Amino acid sequence: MTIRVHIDGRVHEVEPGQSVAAVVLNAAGAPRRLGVPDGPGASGVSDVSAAACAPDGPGVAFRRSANGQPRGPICGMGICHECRLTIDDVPHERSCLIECRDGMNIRTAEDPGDRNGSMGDWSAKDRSPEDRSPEDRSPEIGLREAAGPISAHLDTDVLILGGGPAGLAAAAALADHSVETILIDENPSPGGQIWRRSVRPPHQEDRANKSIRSAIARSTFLGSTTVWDIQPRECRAHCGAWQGQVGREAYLRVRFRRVLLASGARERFLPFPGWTLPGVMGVGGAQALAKSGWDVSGLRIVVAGSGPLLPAVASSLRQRGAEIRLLAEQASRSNLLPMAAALLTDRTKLRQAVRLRMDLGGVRWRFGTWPVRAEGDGHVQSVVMTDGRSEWKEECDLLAVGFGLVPNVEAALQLGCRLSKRGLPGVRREFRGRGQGGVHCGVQGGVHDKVPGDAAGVAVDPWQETSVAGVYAAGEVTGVGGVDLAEAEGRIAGLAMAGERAAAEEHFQSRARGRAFAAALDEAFALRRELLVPPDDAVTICRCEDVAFGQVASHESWRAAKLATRCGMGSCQGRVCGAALRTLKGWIHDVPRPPLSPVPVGAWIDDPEE
Amino acid sequence: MTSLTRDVVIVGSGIVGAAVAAELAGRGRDVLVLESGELAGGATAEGMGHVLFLDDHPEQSELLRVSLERWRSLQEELPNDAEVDVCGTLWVATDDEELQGAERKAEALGSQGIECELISPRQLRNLEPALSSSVQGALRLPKDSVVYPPNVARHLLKFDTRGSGCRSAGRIETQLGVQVVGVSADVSGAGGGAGARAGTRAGAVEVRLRDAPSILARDVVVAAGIATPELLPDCLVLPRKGHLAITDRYPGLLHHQIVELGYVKNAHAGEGDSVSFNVQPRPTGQLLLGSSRQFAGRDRFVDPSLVSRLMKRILEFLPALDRARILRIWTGFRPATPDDRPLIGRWQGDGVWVATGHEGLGITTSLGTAELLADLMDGRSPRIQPDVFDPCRVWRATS
Repeated sequence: MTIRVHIDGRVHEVEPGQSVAAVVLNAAGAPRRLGVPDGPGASGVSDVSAAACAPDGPGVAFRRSANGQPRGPICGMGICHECRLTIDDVPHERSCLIECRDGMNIRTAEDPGDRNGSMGDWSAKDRSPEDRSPEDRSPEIGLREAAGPISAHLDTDVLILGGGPAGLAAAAALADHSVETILIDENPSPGGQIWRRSVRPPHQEDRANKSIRSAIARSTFLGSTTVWDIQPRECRAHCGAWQGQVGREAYLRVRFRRVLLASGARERFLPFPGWTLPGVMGVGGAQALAKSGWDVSGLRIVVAGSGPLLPAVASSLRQRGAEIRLLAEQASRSNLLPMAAALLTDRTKLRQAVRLRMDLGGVRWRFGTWPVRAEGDGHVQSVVMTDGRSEWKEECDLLAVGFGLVPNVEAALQLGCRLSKRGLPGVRREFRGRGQGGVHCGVQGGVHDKVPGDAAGVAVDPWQETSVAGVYAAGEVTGVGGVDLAEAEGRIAGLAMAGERAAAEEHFQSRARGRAFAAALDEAFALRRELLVPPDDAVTICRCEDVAFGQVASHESWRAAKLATRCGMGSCQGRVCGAALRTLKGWIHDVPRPPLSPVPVGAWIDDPEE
Repeated sequence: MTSLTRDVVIVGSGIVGAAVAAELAGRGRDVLVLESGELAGGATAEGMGHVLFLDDHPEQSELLRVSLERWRSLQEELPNDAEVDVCGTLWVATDDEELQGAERKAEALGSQGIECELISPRQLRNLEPALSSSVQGALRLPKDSVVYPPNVARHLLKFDTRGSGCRSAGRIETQLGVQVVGVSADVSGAGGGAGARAGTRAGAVEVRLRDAPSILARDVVVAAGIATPELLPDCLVLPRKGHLAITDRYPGLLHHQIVELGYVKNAHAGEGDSVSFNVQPRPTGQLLLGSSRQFAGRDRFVDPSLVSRLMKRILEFLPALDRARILRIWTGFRPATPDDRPLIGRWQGDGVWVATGHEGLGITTSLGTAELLADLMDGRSPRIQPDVFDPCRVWRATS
């Protein structure tokens, strides 16, 4: 069965389950598939003209930035907001999170009707409203039919945010002990990024399906649902799905007694010249988009950055028909030795590593190598790489680049949870009031600690409970450590919440193993000095607001930079530039203001009966 | 114990402190601005940034008039990041009573020489098609504008002698991360009560700092907003909490700052919580949505029930915003006074001055405040009648 969608007025037949971002990428095609001859490789210099590259169809610019630059998706998982499109006349839709529906009308920045666009000449000081052209005057924000929102109030014992391995493991453990649970995820299906629903079955199909089935059969799963506010005082979460995600708004208020944060991690992007070109995306981002239906076959891809995700994604993209031009890990080979030693103690991981190495047979794999700049006309066409001694150019249609993962701690910060580097002692409990049966989350608004910066996760006690009573955390959100650790933490959290501490303790050992391995990974993939050098002043740091690094560099803090330059004030709310600036400038997190994700005005309105 | 001797120390780098600094420097004084947090990071950063004429405070009309006159010339020199947009204000009426109010207001403004026009419902559809058809008409003040106040303050503090037009212009130095814990007048004991004029007084003012030696200054201006009582314990400034929200970019959706005519009525209807419709189109295409007023301590908690009331109010006027996405909601604190008038003038003791308590009008009236205070400090007779702003009234009221 196929369904039809309109992209910039043209009809495209797509498969159900494909994400909008994926089908737009497919429709745009890539230069190579439009007949641009295969480049001569590493030594060659691209002379492909812009005209030859201009793709037929909607083009590669999903949106135009504040200054009018073309942009495409980078994170593939709802964080970066660069994939925003106008869908069924609603602007600012994150196309990576939305599955295609029959008859959907999709407009990119190439379409004159798109309203995600730049500010144009709106900033003109001297124009009176009468001078503004009639086109400026449309009062509609979209969606003519007034279906009216669906509103519901739900009640649950445990609310789990995030349906990846940690959330699923906890849900299953809670279900085993008949604890009522609601599991919410922004993606349409459970599984998180690692077990993201794919048009082609993923590698870990059996394990993933087993885990998902076990959790979902016995708890309530709400997919395509964004949690945008958590009120610790009232133990109430505001969440919902709106136009695009499900075709109709649904605003939910969920009351809970306890909450488990299993919101995972996102990629860390470090800015370099050209990183905003469409076709430069995250390593996990490329993987997520490919899993949701983007056809990468025939694409020439450079995979760069750092971490175990690189070879895994390179292998997966290769299996989907892509040509991996280069796999470049910034860490040096000698740095990776301790991790190799740790691998030897874990048979499963060792087997996976060996398998991966075989899958990548014939792929150029360099260590101590990293990207210097990406180049191209409206789309990435090549990337200049260095090993610290020399620089050379690699032609490519896609540069997948990510420098490790950082935990998604925003909901935790909003709840008042402390952060720490994993394993650091000193989680103190200040928030009391925990009674027999229920939990009172007593966070004093506005009183938050300054927290450690780079890659800090939510601090937890042995039962995965955070510094706020009744708030638990498990998985990457407590510090990045991979799927095995996430499952162990999720199980412990679920069992502890079910009051089964003895059973939870049985998983302590596997958690300890996971943490030791995570520590070895941290060490092995530590960013090299050269990557911590701030980029040139002209390099864009904030993609949402088009703020250059030079504009923020002289400010003394994250908040001062935000106030003066708009850095971090755009749609992604500093998710991308904030993480980069924590790494580059050591700036600390601040407590994010609500909502956790952009949400329609109408969603804030409470029912009168409540 | 004490170290440097300074000419003028200003406590607070918000728009009021910055405006006073620029004014004094323009008159030849050397100014040191001390800020405990981020530059202009308090109420100046938290509010809406409107520069508008309000006729509901007759005793402030001179302050407003002078301020707006000075804003018009300042706007010429402000950089792009100050986001000046002379979008005008539409005061919208929802019933006959408010419509009659608008007519009276038009007359009153006209007699003061303030440019304004009454807008029929039909004209309104053309000017702002997104407004609800329940709006009965409006009063338009085309010269009102919106700005981004933190960068205006930043610009004012970048004051330099070139182009100031002042023969003996002074300097401004700004120090961040300096926390002032107290201010005491006449520490040398040699000064006498008489002269407020600079140079005629022997005493100095001590500015006590946390973790640093005190500073002695000839004059100290406290422009610390809601933190003022921490430095001058009898100086009653109350935090009046407000909620604001900003949307994603919807360029072209609105063209004016729009405020409901019931605004002043709502805003000052006693001590209870109130919400009013007040929306600004920002130069980015974003919409700034406000506002609420409440006395609720200094807790920054975003109150969902108040947000719900506020959004409902906004949708009554702009139903099209139902699906506009909100990026951020935050709270801030207006420095309020018991009688709704700012505190501008000399505090107890020679050399200690206060400029704060502007509540929601501080951006607009900062420039007039600076002129008035500088005149008082110079011993000149001010253009703006100073008595109604005399800060000592709150001290007398409380003691």
